Amino acid sequence: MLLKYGAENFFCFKEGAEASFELSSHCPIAISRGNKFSNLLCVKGANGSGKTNILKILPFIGFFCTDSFNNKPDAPIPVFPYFDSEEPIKFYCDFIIGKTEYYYDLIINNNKVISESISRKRKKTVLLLKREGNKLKENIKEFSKLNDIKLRSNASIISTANQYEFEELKHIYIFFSRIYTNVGLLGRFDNKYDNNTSKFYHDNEKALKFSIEMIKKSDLGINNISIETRKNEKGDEEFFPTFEHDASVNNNVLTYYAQSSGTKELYNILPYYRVTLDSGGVLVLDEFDINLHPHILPLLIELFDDEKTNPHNAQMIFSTHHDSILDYMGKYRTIVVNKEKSESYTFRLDEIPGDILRNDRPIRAIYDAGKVSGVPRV
Amino acid sequence: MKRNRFQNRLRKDKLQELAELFGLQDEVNNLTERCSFNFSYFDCSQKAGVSFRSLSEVQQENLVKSLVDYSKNSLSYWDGQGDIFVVYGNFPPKSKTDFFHPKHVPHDVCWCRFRLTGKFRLIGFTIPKKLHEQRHEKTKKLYNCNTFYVVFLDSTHTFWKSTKRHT
Repeated sequence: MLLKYGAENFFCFKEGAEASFELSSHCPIAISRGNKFSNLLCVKGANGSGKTNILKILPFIGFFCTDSFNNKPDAPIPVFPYFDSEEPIKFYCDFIIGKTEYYYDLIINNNKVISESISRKRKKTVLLLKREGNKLKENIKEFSKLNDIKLRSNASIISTANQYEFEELKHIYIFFSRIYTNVGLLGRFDNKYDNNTSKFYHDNEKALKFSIEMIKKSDLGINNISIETRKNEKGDEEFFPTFEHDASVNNNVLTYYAQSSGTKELYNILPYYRVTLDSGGVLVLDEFDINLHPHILPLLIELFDDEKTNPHNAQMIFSTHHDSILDYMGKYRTIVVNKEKSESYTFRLDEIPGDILRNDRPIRAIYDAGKVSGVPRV
Repeated sequence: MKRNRFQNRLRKDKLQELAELFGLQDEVNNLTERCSFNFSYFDCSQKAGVSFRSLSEVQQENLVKSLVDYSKNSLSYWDGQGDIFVVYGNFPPKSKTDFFHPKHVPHDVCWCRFRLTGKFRLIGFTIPKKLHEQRHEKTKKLYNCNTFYVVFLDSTHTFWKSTKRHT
């Protein structure tokens, strides 16, 4: 379970930026459902404020902890500071595995790791390991095997340990490998047809059934989806979907390319939801509402807010321009990103002191009027 | 563990700025208690009274300052602040006033006055308390006992001349 994460000197954030799923004691039970942490977090802000960049932090940490060892030894670390800053780029991520809290810290400069550390808290907080440059400076006895690992300046110790099949960090590796996203360092991924999506559906009957149900619930006029196969010119197997429409004609089946943008969007993105919910992971979606009618959005959000559909406590952080979401999410689960003179900053709406946003009143109108910022001044 | 968050100066400034915002329903807001001044019954035709035009610039400024000040609280509040606001009730008898009851003012109002600088007094009336939140028979609107209806500007303190009580 993700608690919070942050970064400093990262893209438009010259100073610190943070996203927290932690709920305060003031949070109404209807929102918290008795939990100290939320399963959902919404990111709001004007165009160009830095919404996508606050999302990018988490996939970057996830990539670095799981895949950075796969980079070439001399490859740069794919991360960008605030403009041409030469200051270190800092990251942190707090999370829970089982009943143990973990704290991950990373500082990078000039494409090299300056320091990386992991602590854990059971009864008290213990530093499990700390590297400085390519040297392991501290590690507890439990992690003594790590002394034999050769660290690389562009790779995380977690990713490296996984390559060496070092089991003691495996659970942390798995946590970071369960971050799923539609956003990379260069922005939101294009919503293009991907043969792998259809292959995924072909191999995962449960996922296909889930997507069919969700698409039917969304009233898109589709009764069924089938995954067909064929051989391409090279002789490789290709997968493609056919969509059965609610039409009284002899042939009511159409291809992917004949579908509406909304249907295509759901077909492509719903596997992310399914995998995240099944694994108890974290889904990071930039502009999750693109091509979708506002009435469909609650169907997607509620998947994470219901123990029946989310038995493994999966989480989702998403950005959206739809203000209708605000009254559902409330001030405890909404982050605002603002930019002033090319510097971005964030705060959660419940951090605003005073009574301007009250538990017992909708917040959408106040947000929409720009009273708590986060909207364009046009 | 409560970890030290990364500091952000802009974030801190914005939250401080937002902390100063408050709404109509906010606890610190006493808007509903603040009294109002209504000038629609003003009468400068009587010899004993003066018009606003006859006031010097300084006197005009002092008058407005007093109105700004007095309108920050309720009439009941000022009623308990010594000599600032005095409730007479009835219009003074002829023997004790240089003014006469204007015909355009209802006969059954509650006369009172605010003290201004020097001998200046702002004479007017309020709605009697027995009518508080009662509806006017014809308009069906509620009476407001927290409005001071200005009638005279008394520059020589001659609205009620005699007793100490009615200063």
